Amino acid sequence: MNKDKWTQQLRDKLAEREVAAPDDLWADIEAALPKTSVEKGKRRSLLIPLRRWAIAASLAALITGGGFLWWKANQPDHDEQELAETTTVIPPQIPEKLQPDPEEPQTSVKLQTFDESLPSEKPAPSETILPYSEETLIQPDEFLAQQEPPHEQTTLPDLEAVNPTEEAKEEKSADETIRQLETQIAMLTPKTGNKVIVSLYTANGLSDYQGANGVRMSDELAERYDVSQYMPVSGARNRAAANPIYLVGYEERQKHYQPVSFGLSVGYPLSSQFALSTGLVYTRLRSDFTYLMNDVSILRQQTLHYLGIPLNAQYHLWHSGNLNVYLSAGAEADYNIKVKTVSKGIEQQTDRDRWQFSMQGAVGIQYDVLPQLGLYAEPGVKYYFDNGSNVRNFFKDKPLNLNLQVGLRLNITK
Amino acid sequence: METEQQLLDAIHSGEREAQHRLYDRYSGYAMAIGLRYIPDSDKVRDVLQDSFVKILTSIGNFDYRGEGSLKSWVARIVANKSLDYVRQHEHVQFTNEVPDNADDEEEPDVGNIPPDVLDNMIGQLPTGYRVVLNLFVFEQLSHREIAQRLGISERASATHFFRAKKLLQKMIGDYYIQQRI
Repeated sequence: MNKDKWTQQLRDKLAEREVAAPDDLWADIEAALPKTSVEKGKRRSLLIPLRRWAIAASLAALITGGGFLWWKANQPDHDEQELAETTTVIPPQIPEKLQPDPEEPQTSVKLQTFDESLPSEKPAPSETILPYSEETLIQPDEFLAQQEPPHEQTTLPDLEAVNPTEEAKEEKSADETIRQLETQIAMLTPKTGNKVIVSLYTANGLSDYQGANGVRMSDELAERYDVSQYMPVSGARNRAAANPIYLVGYEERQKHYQPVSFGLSVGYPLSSQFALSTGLVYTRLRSDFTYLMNDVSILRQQTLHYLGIPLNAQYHLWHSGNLNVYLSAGAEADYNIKVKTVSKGIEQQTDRDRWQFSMQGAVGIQYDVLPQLGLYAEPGVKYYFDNGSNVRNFFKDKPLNLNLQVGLRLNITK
Repeated sequence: METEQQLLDAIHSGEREAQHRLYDRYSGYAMAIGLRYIPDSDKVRDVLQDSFVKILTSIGNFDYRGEGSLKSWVARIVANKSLDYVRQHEHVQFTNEVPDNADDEEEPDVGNIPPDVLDNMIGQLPTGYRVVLNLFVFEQLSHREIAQRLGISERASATHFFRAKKLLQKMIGDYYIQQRI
């Protein structure tokens, strides 16, 4: 009792005591604070849900978009018929369609979707656009991705499909056929088939990736030295066997810089809303591995160069004035053309990475500055499959990535 | 006066000045805590700098539980940082000796000793004793908890506390004698 009383007395006497801190201490603390930690923390916490939201939105868009595409793909004939009907009715309809009319029913708007956007219509700042522009602002870095690509092979059947129709009709009546032909050609010219889309783009991931690993002491060694007796916390003795013991002063750190890639792609519209694209993309991955042993550190820098071929499908969702919104999904295969590893200034022999496959999905927004030239941004997600190689790189440590691709798209009308 | 809740709200809203207010409000308190572990104000200065940087950068994770909880949290961080410092920079030896004839000693009367003198006396205790005294009296840990924290036996913790008290008693006695002269 007495003891408790004494303890209490001492505590009461001193616990609330204050001693003036050194005058200049605050200045040092302020200087040491990471540029307003609080704000930084807040921003990060805002970003995380945003990223999650973006991933979720992209996935949702992909799934619904993919489902819709699939559904559409199963009814191509029906579409064609509709087109043919529209065309056959009145040739004068065409000029009407070319007129910018925002109030027009969706069907006719869709017909214009893939073509040069006509002047006069302003890009309506609709709500749909906002999330993307915000996202782009918030995420300064970007990632790699690739798309746009047209597939000549796939396109050919499309053209062929037209010919049989024409031929079939030719057999019927000459006049009718000629008129139909004219209208069809008129419709097809602006709409599909005869346009090649070439894009130049760059894409980036949204962040670097860093990590550190302790170097574990082997159990035998730990036992030999009876490490547990040196553990600061009592009770650790019992736990020592179960818990790994990390060597003090030994550490491995790895930093993967965000991948940088750029490429060229060629796209070919299959219909007014559906397009395929392929191309060639170059990607560079850089990583620093630092091995720390007490005061000694060894830095190993690894640079991997890949050349990849993307294949993507795009589906146009919405169009207004010079603005297009579309979904894009596809896959890519990257081949590691070169690897360079430098440790302490000496280049080392390293095996090349295996083929790297990935899948991606994105929502794209394109603004046509000119009818022939569009600026586009595609925020999306990309997933890299583990290729089983022992090359450590960004793709292995962070297989699922948000990425942003930006580029220029040229519409070349044949 | 601004409540802890208001202060926290201001900090969370990104008000830089609010961080300074938190520092102004608790730096004296923190300094006293640090000095009880490390009787060297230059060293305590470093510890406080570390502590406040940690406090201000991790305040987003602080779970507010009513007025006073922020102050306790600050105290805990400063005490932990101080203890870390002592363990890293001072060679602390803890013995497992059984206390000499305990309990029959008189309690050293602290009632009439000025707080700064008393703090000064604590500062003169050997490091091991000082640490245990701090943990037992000010952080109100049990000997079992102290033992776990320091990796010593419960008995050793009790011994250190007992000896700390005994030394204090001697110092207090000397102090009274001096005062009388």
